[in-house]
Amino acid sequence: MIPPLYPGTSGLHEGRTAQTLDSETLAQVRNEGEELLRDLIELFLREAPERLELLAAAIAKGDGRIAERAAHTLKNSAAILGAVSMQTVAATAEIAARDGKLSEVAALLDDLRLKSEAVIAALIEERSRLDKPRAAE
Amino acid sequence: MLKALIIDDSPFARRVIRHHLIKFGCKVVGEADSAAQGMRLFNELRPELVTMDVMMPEVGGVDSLTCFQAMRQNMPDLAVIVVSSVPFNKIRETFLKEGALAYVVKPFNQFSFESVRQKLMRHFSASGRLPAELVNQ
Repeated sequence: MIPPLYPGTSGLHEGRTAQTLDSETLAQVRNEGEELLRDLIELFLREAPERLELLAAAIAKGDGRIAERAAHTLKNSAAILGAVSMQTVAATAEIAARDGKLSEVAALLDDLRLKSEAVIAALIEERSRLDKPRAAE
Repeated sequence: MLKALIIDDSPFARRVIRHHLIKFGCKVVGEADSAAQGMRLFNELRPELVTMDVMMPEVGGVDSLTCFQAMRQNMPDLAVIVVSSVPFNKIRETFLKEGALAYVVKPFNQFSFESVRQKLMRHFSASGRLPAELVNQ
Protein backbone atom coordinates (compact mmCIF):
# COMPACT_ATOMS: atom_id res chain seq x y z
CA MET A 1 0.00 0.00 0.00
CA ILE A 2 1.46 3.32 -1.05
CA PRO A 3 1.27 5.91 1.75
CA PRO A 4 -0.48 9.14 0.72
CA LEU A 5 1.70 12.14 0.10
CA TYR A 6 -0.93 14.48 1.45
CA PRO A 7 -2.19 13.12 4.76
CA GLY A 8 -5.47 14.62 5.89
CA THR A 9 -7.22 17.72 4.70
CA SER A 10 -7.78 21.02 6.36
CA GLY A 11 -11.53 20.97 5.79
CA LEU A 12 -13.95 22.71 3.51
CA HIS A 13 -13.81 26.47 3.43
CA GLU A 14 -17.04 28.36 3.29
CA GLY A 15 -17.87 30.91 0.65
CA ARG A 16 -16.81 31.16 -2.95
CA THR A 17 -13.85 28.82 -2.71
CA ALA A 18 -15.99 25.83 -1.80
CA GLN A 19 -18.23 26.32 -4.84
CA THR A 20 -15.55 26.98 -7.44
CA LEU A 21 -12.54 24.97 -6.30
CA ASP A 22 -12.55 21.35 -5.25
CA SER A 23 -11.77 21.47 -1.55
CA GLU A 24 -9.87 18.19 -1.51
CA THR A 25 -7.55 19.17 -4.37
CA LEU A 26 -6.93 22.57 -2.82
CA ALA A 27 -6.24 20.96 0.55
CA GLN A 28 -3.69 18.66 -1.07
CA VAL A 29 -1.83 21.66 -2.45
CA ARG A 30 -2.15 23.50 0.87
CA ASN A 31 -0.74 20.51 2.73
CA GLU A 32 2.32 20.63 0.50
CA GLY A 33 3.07 24.05 1.92
CA GLU A 34 1.87 27.62 1.87
CA GLU A 35 4.65 28.76 -0.44
CA LEU A 36 3.57 26.37 -3.18
CA LEU A 37 -0.07 27.42 -2.88
CA ARG A 38 0.83 31.12 -2.93
CA ASP A 39 3.01 30.65 -6.01
CA LEU A 40 0.30 28.71 -7.85
CA ILE A 41 -2.28 31.35 -6.99
CA GLU A 42 -0.02 34.12 -8.32
CA LEU A 43 0.72 32.09 -11.45
CA PHE A 44 -2.96 31.55 -12.10
CA LEU A 45 -3.85 35.22 -11.56
CA ARG A 46 -1.20 36.18 -14.09
CA GLU A 47 -1.49 33.36 -16.61
CA ALA A 48 -5.22 32.70 -16.94
CA PRO A 49 -6.17 36.14 -18.36
CA GLU A 50 -3.20 35.97 -20.75
CA ARG A 51 -4.18 32.52 -22.01
CA LEU A 52 -7.80 33.62 -22.45
CA GLU A 53 -6.66 36.56 -24.55
CA LEU A 54 -4.45 34.22 -26.57
CA LEU A 55 -7.41 31.89 -27.09
CA ALA A 56 -9.64 34.77 -28.24
CA ALA A 57 -6.95 36.00 -30.64
CA ALA A 58 -6.43 32.49 -32.02
CA ILE A 59 -10.16 32.12 -32.66
CA ALA A 60 -10.21 35.49 -34.44
CA LYS A 61 -7.26 34.43 -36.61
CA GLY A 62 -8.65 30.96 -37.23
CA ASP A 63 -5.55 29.36 -35.72
CA GLY A 64 -6.72 26.02 -34.31
CA ARG A 65 -3.30 24.97 -33.12
CA ILE A 66 -2.74 28.00 -30.89
CA ALA A 67 -6.36 27.79 -29.69
CA GLU A 68 -5.79 24.15 -28.74
CA ARG A 69 -2.59 25.02 -26.86
CA ALA A 70 -4.24 27.90 -24.96
CA ALA A 71 -7.21 25.75 -23.97
CA HIS A 72 -4.86 22.90 -23.02
CA THR A 73 -2.86 25.14 -20.68
CA LEU A 74 -6.02 26.58 -19.11
CA LYS A 75 -7.32 23.04 -18.56
CA ASN A 76 -4.14 21.89 -16.83
CA SER A 77 -3.80 24.98 -14.65
CA ALA A 78 -7.42 24.66 -13.57
CA ALA A 79 -6.92 20.97 -12.81
CA ILE A 80 -3.94 21.56 -10.54
CA LEU A 81 -5.99 23.93 -8.35
CA GLY A 82 -9.15 21.83 -8.46
CA ALA A 83 -11.14 24.26 -10.60
CA VAL A 84 -13.19 21.39 -11.94
CA SER A 85 -15.88 23.35 -13.73
CA MET A 86 -13.36 25.53 -15.56
CA GLN A 87 -11.25 22.47 -16.34
CA THR A 88 -14.26 20.77 -17.98
CA VAL A 89 -15.05 23.73 -20.25
CA ALA A 90 -11.39 24.18 -21.18
CA ALA A 91 -11.11 20.48 -22.00
CA THR A 92 -14.16 20.71 -24.27
CA ALA A 93 -12.65 23.77 -25.97
CA GLU A 94 -9.33 21.96 -26.41
CA ILE A 95 -10.97 18.99 -28.14
CA ALA A 96 -13.07 21.27 -30.37
CA ALA A 97 -9.96 23.26 -31.33
CA ARG A 98 -8.05 20.06 -32.09
CA ASP A 99 -10.92 19.02 -34.39
CA GLY A 100 -10.78 22.41 -36.11
CA LYS A 101 -14.23 23.40 -34.82
CA LEU A 102 -13.35 26.97 -33.92
CA SER A 103 -16.97 28.12 -33.95
CA GLU A 104 -17.57 25.69 -31.09
CA VAL A 105 -14.54 27.05 -29.26
CA ALA A 106 -15.85 30.59 -29.78
CA ALA A 107 -19.20 29.56 -28.31
CA LEU A 108 -17.41 28.33 -25.17
CA LEU A 109 -15.26 31.42 -24.72
CA ASP A 110 -17.71 33.51 -22.67
CA ASP A 111 -18.41 30.61 -20.33
CA LEU A 112 -14.70 29.97 -19.96
CA ARG A 113 -14.12 33.65 -19.12
CA LEU A 114 -16.86 33.58 -16.48
CA LYS A 115 -15.50 30.42 -14.93
CA SER A 116 -12.00 31.84 -14.94
CA GLU A 117 -13.22 35.03 -13.23
CA ALA A 118 -14.92 32.92 -10.56
CA VAL A 119 -11.73 30.94 -10.00
CA ILE A 120 -9.70 34.15 -9.76
CA ALA A 121 -12.14 35.56 -7.19
CA ALA A 122 -11.97 32.33 -5.17
CA LEU A 123 -8.17 32.33 -5.30
CA ILE A 124 -7.98 35.93 -4.14
CA GLU A 125 -10.21 34.90 -1.23
CA GLU A 126 -7.92 31.95 -0.54
CA ARG A 127 -4.87 34.24 -0.63
CA SER A 128 -6.52 36.59 1.89
CA ARG A 129 -7.14 33.60 4.12
CA LEU A 130 -3.45 32.76 3.96
CA ASP A 131 -2.58 36.37 4.83
CA LYS A 132 -4.83 36.52 7.90
CA PRO A 133 -2.62 34.74 10.47
CA ARG A 134 0.31 36.87 9.35
CA ALA A 135 -1.70 40.09 9.72
CA ALA A 136 -2.77 39.04 13.24
CA GLU A 137 0.86 38.70 14.40
CA MET B 1 22.40 15.75 -4.53
CA LEU B 2 20.83 14.76 -7.82
CA LYS B 3 20.88 17.42 -10.51
CA ALA B 4 17.48 17.73 -12.17
CA LEU B 5 16.19 19.54 -15.25
CA ILE B 6 12.49 20.27 -15.82
CA ILE B 7 11.20 20.59 -19.38
CA ASP B 8 7.57 21.70 -19.51
CA ASP B 9 5.86 24.61 -21.22
CA SER B 10 3.45 25.10 -18.30
CA PRO B 11 4.83 27.31 -15.51
CA PHE B 12 2.18 25.72 -13.32
CA ALA B 13 3.40 22.19 -13.92
CA ARG B 14 7.04 23.31 -13.55
CA ARG B 15 6.29 24.82 -10.16
CA VAL B 16 4.58 21.66 -8.88
CA ILE B 17 7.29 19.37 -10.26
CA ARG B 18 10.04 21.57 -8.79
CA HIS B 19 8.38 21.37 -5.38
CA HIS B 20 8.38 17.57 -5.44
CA LEU B 21 11.89 17.20 -6.85
CA ILE B 22 13.25 19.43 -4.08
CA LYS B 23 11.37 17.28 -1.56
CA PHE B 24 13.14 14.29 -3.07
CA GLY B 25 16.46 15.96 -2.35
CA CYS B 26 17.16 16.97 -5.96
CA LYS B 27 18.77 20.20 -6.99
CA VAL B 28 16.77 21.71 -9.84
CA VAL B 29 19.53 23.14 -12.00
CA GLY B 30 17.36 24.33 -14.86
CA GLU B 31 13.89 24.77 -16.29
CA ALA B 32 12.98 24.85 -19.97
CA ASP B 33 9.68 25.67 -21.65
CA SER B 34 10.36 23.81 -24.90
CA ALA B 35 12.15 20.69 -26.08
CA ALA B 36 14.68 22.81 -27.95
CA GLN B 37 15.55 24.84 -24.86
CA GLY B 38 15.58 21.60 -22.87
CA MET B 39 18.20 20.15 -25.22
CA ARG B 40 20.38 23.24 -24.83
CA LEU B 41 20.14 23.15 -21.04
CA PHE B 42 20.75 19.40 -20.97
CA ASN B 43 24.01 19.80 -22.89
CA GLU B 44 25.06 22.71 -20.72
CA LEU B 45 24.04 21.44 -17.26
CA ARG B 46 24.40 17.64 -17.60
CA PRO B 47 21.59 16.70 -15.19
CA GLU B 48 21.15 13.14 -13.88
CA LEU B 49 17.37 13.42 -13.90
CA VAL B 50 15.05 15.06 -16.43
CA THR B 51 11.29 15.49 -16.29
CA MET B 52 9.79 16.15 -19.67
CA ASP B 53 6.33 17.08 -20.92
CA VAL B 54 5.16 15.28 -24.04
CA MET B 55 2.83 17.89 -25.45
CA MET B 56 4.75 21.10 -25.97
CA PRO B 57 4.78 23.49 -28.90
CA GLU B 58 7.51 22.45 -31.32
CA VAL B 59 10.33 25.00 -31.39
CA GLY B 60 13.13 24.89 -33.94
CA GLY B 61 11.91 21.55 -35.29
CA VAL B 62 12.67 19.75 -32.00
CA ASP B 63 9.79 17.78 -30.54
CA SER B 64 9.63 15.90 -27.24
CA LEU B 65 10.49 12.46 -28.60
CA THR B 66 13.47 13.76 -30.58
CA CYS B 67 14.72 15.56 -27.47
CA PHE B 68 14.18 12.46 -25.36
CA GLN B 69 16.05 10.19 -27.76
CA ALA B 70 18.95 12.61 -28.14
CA MET B 71 19.39 12.97 -24.39
CA ARG B 72 19.27 9.22 -23.79
CA GLN B 73 21.73 8.58 -26.59
CA ASN B 74 24.07 11.13 -25.09
CA MET B 75 23.67 9.80 -21.54
CA PRO B 76 22.26 6.23 -21.54
CA ASP B 77 21.77 6.03 -17.77
CA LEU B 78 19.89 9.34 -17.63
CA ALA B 79 16.67 9.03 -15.61
CA VAL B 80 13.82 10.59 -17.58
CA ILE B 81 10.36 11.02 -16.12
CA VAL B 82 7.85 11.72 -18.86
CA VAL B 83 5.01 13.95 -17.70
CA SER B 84 1.97 14.15 -19.90
CA SER B 85 -1.68 15.02 -20.06
CA VAL B 86 -1.98 12.49 -22.89
CA PRO B 87 -3.14 9.21 -21.31
CA PHE B 88 -2.86 7.23 -24.55
CA ASN B 89 -1.22 3.84 -24.26
CA LYS B 90 0.57 4.15 -27.60
CA ILE B 91 2.47 7.28 -26.56
CA ARG B 92 3.13 5.85 -23.12
CA GLU B 93 4.51 2.64 -24.60
CA THR B 94 6.68 4.55 -27.07
CA PHE B 95 8.43 6.48 -24.31
CA LEU B 96 8.72 3.52 -21.95
CA LYS B 97 10.14 1.39 -24.77
CA GLU B 98 12.66 4.13 -25.49
CA GLY B 99 13.80 3.94 -21.87
CA ALA B 100 11.71 6.41 -19.88
CA LEU B 101 11.82 5.60 -16.18
CA ALA B 102 8.18 6.58 -15.62
CA TYR B 103 5.21 8.08 -17.44
CA VAL B 104 3.17 10.35 -15.20
CA VAL B 105 -0.22 11.59 -16.36
CA LYS B 106 -1.41 15.10 -15.49
CA PRO B 107 -3.21 16.31 -13.53
CA PHE B 108 -1.00 15.07 -10.72
CA ASN B 109 -2.61 13.30 -7.81
CA GLN B 110 -1.34 12.26 -4.42
CA PHE B 111 0.12 9.05 -5.77
CA SER B 112 1.87 10.45 -8.86
CA PHE B 113 5.06 11.56 -7.16
CA GLU B 114 5.17 8.67 -4.71
CA SER B 115 5.31 6.33 -7.69
CA VAL B 116 8.08 8.48 -9.21
CA ARG B 117 10.03 8.41 -5.95
CA GLN B 118 9.92 4.63 -5.81
CA LYS B 119 11.13 4.34 -9.41
CA LEU B 120 13.92 6.84 -8.79
CA MET B 121 14.98 4.87 -5.73
CA ARG B 122 15.24 1.68 -7.77
CA HIS B 123 17.10 3.44 -10.60
CA PHE B 124 19.69 5.19 -8.45
CA SER B 125 20.02 2.26 -6.05
CA ALA B 126 21.02 0.04 -8.96
CA SER B 127 23.76 2.48 -9.95
CA GLY B 128 24.91 3.00 -6.34
CA ARG B 129 23.99 6.70 -6.32
CA LEU B 130 20.92 6.62 -4.10
CA PRO B 131 20.42 9.98 -2.34
CA ALA B 132 19.37 9.69 1.32
CA GLU B 133 16.56 12.21 0.80
CA LEU B 134 14.80 9.82 -1.59
CA VAL B 135 14.74 7.14 1.08
CA ASN B 136 13.85 9.35 4.04
CA GLN B 137 10.41 10.49 2.89
